[in-house]
Amino acid sequence: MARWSSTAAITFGLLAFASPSWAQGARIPADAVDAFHAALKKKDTAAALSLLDRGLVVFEFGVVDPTVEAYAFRHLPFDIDVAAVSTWSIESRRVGGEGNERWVLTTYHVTGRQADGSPIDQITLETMILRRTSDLFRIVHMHWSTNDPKFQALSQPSASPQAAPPPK
Amino acid sequence: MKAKRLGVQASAGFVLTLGCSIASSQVLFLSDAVPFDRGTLARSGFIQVGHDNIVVDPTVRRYTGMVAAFGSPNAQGKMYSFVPSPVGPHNFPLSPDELRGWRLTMLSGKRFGQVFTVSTNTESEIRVTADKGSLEGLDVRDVFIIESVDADGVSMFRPADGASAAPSPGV
Repeated sequence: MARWSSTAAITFGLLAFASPSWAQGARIPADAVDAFHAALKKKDTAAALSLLDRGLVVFEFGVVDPTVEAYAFRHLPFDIDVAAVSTWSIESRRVGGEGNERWVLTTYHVTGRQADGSPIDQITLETMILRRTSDLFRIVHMHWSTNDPKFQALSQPSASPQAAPPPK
Repeated sequence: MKAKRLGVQASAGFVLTLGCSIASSQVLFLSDAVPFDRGTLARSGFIQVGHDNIVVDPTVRRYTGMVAAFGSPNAQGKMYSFVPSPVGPHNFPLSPDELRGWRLTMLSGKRFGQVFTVSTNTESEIRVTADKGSLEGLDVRDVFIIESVDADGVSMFRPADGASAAPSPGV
């Protein structure tokens, strides 16, 4: 009995020492993507960071976070706040790639309430590229866009008919 | 009896193997890290990004900054305090113990992703608890975020009620 207690204590001690929240990643690419969203929802900054490759580049709606540090510093807090008040339901997902480089393409129906009480109801498109190191996949590129027409008009004015070049 | 002893030894061996494999994955995570180019952050870390078609209230209070200097090591030579330099979108003048119990996460450098808990702070110094280890490995200019989330991951932030309530700093 005492031996089992010792074994249990050793187990607990080793796991507690060896698995801090940032030593993560996933063996299946889609699991890394889902774990990242779960970490955002739980406001677990370190867990979210643990799922990001140190070479991360983020494209969002036409702008860039060129480093993982830039994303973590400026943008991750906002993504955590958005995740806290919205629900991201997977509508479709495709996965591909081979070897140590994989991709996961997901469309989400995002619902919730904004700060002013107005509803969030949009489709968000997500491209994730994952890189495997040390047997674990981590996100090395994210790209989000939305079908929200108001935001599309705001962020891409050149796409509006008024801004189109005159016909030749 | 011998079989039982062998079973116990096998269990202990399995436990050690499991623990070591997890520990080694942690080490590999660190060794895989691409060295952080400070110039890159200086050039690119403050680009205004999009994604902002959704407007939400902050769910936690936040303080962002950069390590400006380190405090004095304790009698064992371990360091648990540093002088912050406020940087980024979430910072405010610190009041004594305002950040007590908040979660500190390193966002750059060798300790990227490492979590600490603030034990106390003054207007110019932040001290972390010893239970998550010392600050060894941090460098001046490493950036961090401190969030009003306790050690159990529970938000300590309650939005003020009523439109007349003054917003909390860091929100």
